[in-house]
Amino acid sequence: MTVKEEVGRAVLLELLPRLKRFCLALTGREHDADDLLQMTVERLLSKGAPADADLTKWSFRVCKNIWIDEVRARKVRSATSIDDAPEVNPVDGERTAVAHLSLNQVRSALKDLPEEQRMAISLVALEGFSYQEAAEIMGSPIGTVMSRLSRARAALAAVFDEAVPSH
Amino acid sequence: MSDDHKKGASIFDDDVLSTYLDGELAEADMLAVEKAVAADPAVRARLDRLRRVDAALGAALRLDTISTPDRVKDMLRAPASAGRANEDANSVPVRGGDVVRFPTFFRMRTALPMAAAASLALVAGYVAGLMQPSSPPAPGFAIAGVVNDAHPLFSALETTPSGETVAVKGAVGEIVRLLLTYRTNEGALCREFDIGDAERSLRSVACRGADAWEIKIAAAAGGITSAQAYETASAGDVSFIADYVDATMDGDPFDAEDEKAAIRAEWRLPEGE
Repeated sequence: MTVKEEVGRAVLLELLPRLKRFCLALTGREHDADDLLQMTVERLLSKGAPADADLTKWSFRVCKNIWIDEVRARKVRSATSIDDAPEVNPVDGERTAVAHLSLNQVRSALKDLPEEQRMAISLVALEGFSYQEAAEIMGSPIGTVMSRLSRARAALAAVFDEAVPSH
Repeated sequence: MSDDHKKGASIFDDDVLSTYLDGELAEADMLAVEKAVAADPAVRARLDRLRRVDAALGAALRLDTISTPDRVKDMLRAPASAGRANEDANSVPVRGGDVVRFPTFFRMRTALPMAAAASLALVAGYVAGLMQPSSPPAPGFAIAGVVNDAHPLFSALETTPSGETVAVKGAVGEIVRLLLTYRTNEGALCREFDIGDAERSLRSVACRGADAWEIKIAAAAGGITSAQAYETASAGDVSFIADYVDATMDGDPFDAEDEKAAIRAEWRLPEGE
């Protein structure tokens, strides 16, 4: 094993919660998110990353590609069971301080967004990637990321307006 | 991204406010929005409304509430036993040697249209190779990339639900696994699939024309091991196809119901259904 790889593993271990959160945003389900996370780490370990790549961005990109390639196909197959599955939530019932929405309401609104909007908003608003970085991860032009993000925020805002009685 | 196309838009629209929130407007535009926010409570309210979305998301997916499974953490902590076993599982891991395997491929992918053309040429040769052992390649598919109803692959594309694997009649020990159905930005119905055998395969996208499926793109993949298996081989090639699907797909892929409807309608769905 090389020193470089040692560093990669440590960085990945550190990165794991963020990657998992991205997996959650993509899949909408705890169980699928864990599977996607595992596949991402397996692929990163077996394939490595280009020497000049930023490992963080690279990892998100690999994760997104696996999701599109493999997990999504499986999700299509089991589409009927997805909505029936109980939501797994570590802090069920807790309400967000900000909007008085339940966590499940927020997650479910996120899940209802078109996939590419979900991806854009989680990369930028949650993970703090710049538009340029998100564009590289998604393989889309910056302008596209920008408009997906804006549409995602507008759609979520509309859902939240409805969910929160004004007071 | 300073941008001319922004100049025409009202600074009050969601696009601009959203981009402002991310600090991604050109400097002059950032200032203009700041002024508008200070001067106009309505603009401020709209900005706050968008800001609350981010806050709600952040709260619903707070990093300290995210749990990661031990099985994954262990893969990263214990290099010698992590991941898939290889021939040398007990000795020094060889993964380091793989690290530079696909950068060249990645660079190639950045020029998608050109690479796509190249890979289409590659399909012809590769598919011909797949079909060759005891019979000549089926005409049409190998050369022109068109699968008409005379081709064994045709009915697989027409009737197999995504996620299922079928044997292709008349070809040499081949199986086809359907992965995904989607509509393109241009309204065409397309399917992503693997064709090959356990040893090697081709991942490809075909779109339905008036009376045939046209192969749009393909790349070599590692083999179809079983209907349930996830390919971890050839990640580079396969993600290349994923990028293509991503770039051409309008909205989400079809769910099982939509796909059934498309199959029933023999792929003659009206646009925008």
